[in-house]
Amino acid sequence: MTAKQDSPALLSIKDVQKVFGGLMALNRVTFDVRSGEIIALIGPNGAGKTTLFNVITNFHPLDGGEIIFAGKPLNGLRPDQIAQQGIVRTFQNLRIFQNMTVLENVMVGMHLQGASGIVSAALRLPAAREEEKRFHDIAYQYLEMVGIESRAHDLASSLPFGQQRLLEIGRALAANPRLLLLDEPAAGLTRAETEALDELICSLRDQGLTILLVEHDMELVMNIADRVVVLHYGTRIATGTPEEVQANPDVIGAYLGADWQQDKWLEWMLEDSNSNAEKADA
Amino acid sequence: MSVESGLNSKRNAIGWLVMAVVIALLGWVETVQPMGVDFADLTNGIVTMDTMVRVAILTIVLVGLNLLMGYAGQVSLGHAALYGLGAYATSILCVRSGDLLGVPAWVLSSWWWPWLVMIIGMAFAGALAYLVGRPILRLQGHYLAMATLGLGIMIYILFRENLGFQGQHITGTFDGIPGIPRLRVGNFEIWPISRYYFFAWIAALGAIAFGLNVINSRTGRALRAIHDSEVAAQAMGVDVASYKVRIFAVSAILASAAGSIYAHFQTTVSPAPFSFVGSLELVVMAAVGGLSSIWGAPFGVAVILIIKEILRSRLRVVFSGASGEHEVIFYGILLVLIMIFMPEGVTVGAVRRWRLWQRRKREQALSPAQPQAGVRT
Repeated sequence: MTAKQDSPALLSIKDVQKVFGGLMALNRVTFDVRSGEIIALIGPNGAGKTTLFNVITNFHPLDGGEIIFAGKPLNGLRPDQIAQQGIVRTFQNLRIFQNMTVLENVMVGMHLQGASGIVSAALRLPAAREEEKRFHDIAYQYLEMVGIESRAHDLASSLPFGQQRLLEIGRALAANPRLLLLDEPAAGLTRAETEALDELICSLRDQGLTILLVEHDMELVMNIADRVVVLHYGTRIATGTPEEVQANPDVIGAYLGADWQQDKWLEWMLEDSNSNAEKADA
Repeated sequence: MSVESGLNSKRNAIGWLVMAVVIALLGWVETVQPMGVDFADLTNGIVTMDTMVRVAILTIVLVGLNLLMGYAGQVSLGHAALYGLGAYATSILCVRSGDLLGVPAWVLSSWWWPWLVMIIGMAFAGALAYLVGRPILRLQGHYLAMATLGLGIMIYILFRENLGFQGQHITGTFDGIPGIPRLRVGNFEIWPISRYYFFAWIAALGAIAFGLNVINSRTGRALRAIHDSEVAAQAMGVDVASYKVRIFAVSAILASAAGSIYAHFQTTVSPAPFSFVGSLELVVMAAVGGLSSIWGAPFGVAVILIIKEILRSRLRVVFSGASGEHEVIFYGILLVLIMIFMPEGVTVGAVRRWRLWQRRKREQALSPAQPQAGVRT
């Protein structure tokens, strides 16, 4: 952990503000994501977690502050240009390409690694065919990585929910990101699926990928996160290791009101995520 | 594990085979006239060789419109005008460019000039679509439909109003421009109609091959991704606006090529087919054929053109005083019905319904003997 603290910030979020009408969705949020770490973003519903993702990927323009990725400001770039910089995200409510096969979904993820255009494709020039073959083989490897290669040629909409989540992650990985943003990857997964996801995310980190994730499943967060950032009503109220954040009275207050006791809080949270998982199992 | 393998290519192979056999058979009837039977006799004079050539020509337009509507999710209400651009480029440059631009007579009478003109027309239509599409397609929503509606009406009026240039007429009025030469390759003239029929269908099959290759490529996947979820496509690095503009330009280029082929077929070009009603007709054809089905294109065109011929010959018998404008009512009704009952298009919808019916029948046959077990496998 100490080694990581010395590594430079890959993503710096500085005084970021976002206003929707009269609502301050993000209020001067500041934190760094360092190379090679897993940061979890937690907070009650409506805390601004997904909004922060949308702001980083510029689906929503910033109202104030600055976001710097690998030394360069991201302001004013289109979402596809942000992806080109190496920031790739998944979506909380799945956005897979329903009418394409599983393999094709991943091949769209590889879009930026190709160069062929309409003319070379229409005439089936050798370069385009070569690229198509390469895409095909590499896409298959990504499916193997997330473990759904047996469904490669099925329509993406025919996958069960849990596998659709894995497909989204596989598609994002195929874009070869330097920073992966995962928006509630465990939501709706069974306990077994969550454990597999846990392993997958850790193995990605071990391969040097930097990951920022929003997650409600506290057990997953406490297992895999190097650091945790807590948002509450658009304000960052705590940053630290999972242990530090769990002990932070502001965080406890934000979740449950100030009079709750820490041990009860943790118990309640774990119970909550367990019961969610049981629901998903059923 | 190559891309060509799998279900898609099998279906495409069947498609190619069926198309080739049907086209060759119909062409053979016309050329050989077995037992004195002419092609037109097959349908008692309602469907003629002329209709079949126009099906081929409009198939080329439809492939482009299909890519735009079915795959990029954008509607064009001015595609007939882009089709007209090709027709008028051919007619003006092949007939009037001697007077207007001083193109020497030996060029005008050469066999390659019409082919060069066809390419000039395609480049012009593509460039115009690019210029119009670029600012509009940066916006989200169906602004392209409105912009192409305006563009189409403007182009149509330019065709109709007999533009003058230094005392010379460019476009002609309602009568249009007559005297367009037949296409030739060297000394081989692509005429009579049986030859032109094969030429037009080879071009149409070329367009279909073009469309199929595009949708099964990096570009095609990007377009289909945009259609499914624009946000997710962007998150994967797809420059959504740029792809929409490119496919709009490609569809304009295909429409223009078809227009040139049409001009050499009719030898006279008049503004009527390039009006708003023409554009509407194309949209209806696309809806009948199936919006995201390249193979549906020739089917959609054929169904509408044949229905049109029947209406033309029968409508006056049923409704006295009915004129050509009454077709528009029919298109309106048809479009509404398709959108309500088969929004995925008649071809795709029919195939899907057929499969559902078959499966139900199979399940019914199996279920009393062995309930549930093994039904799906």
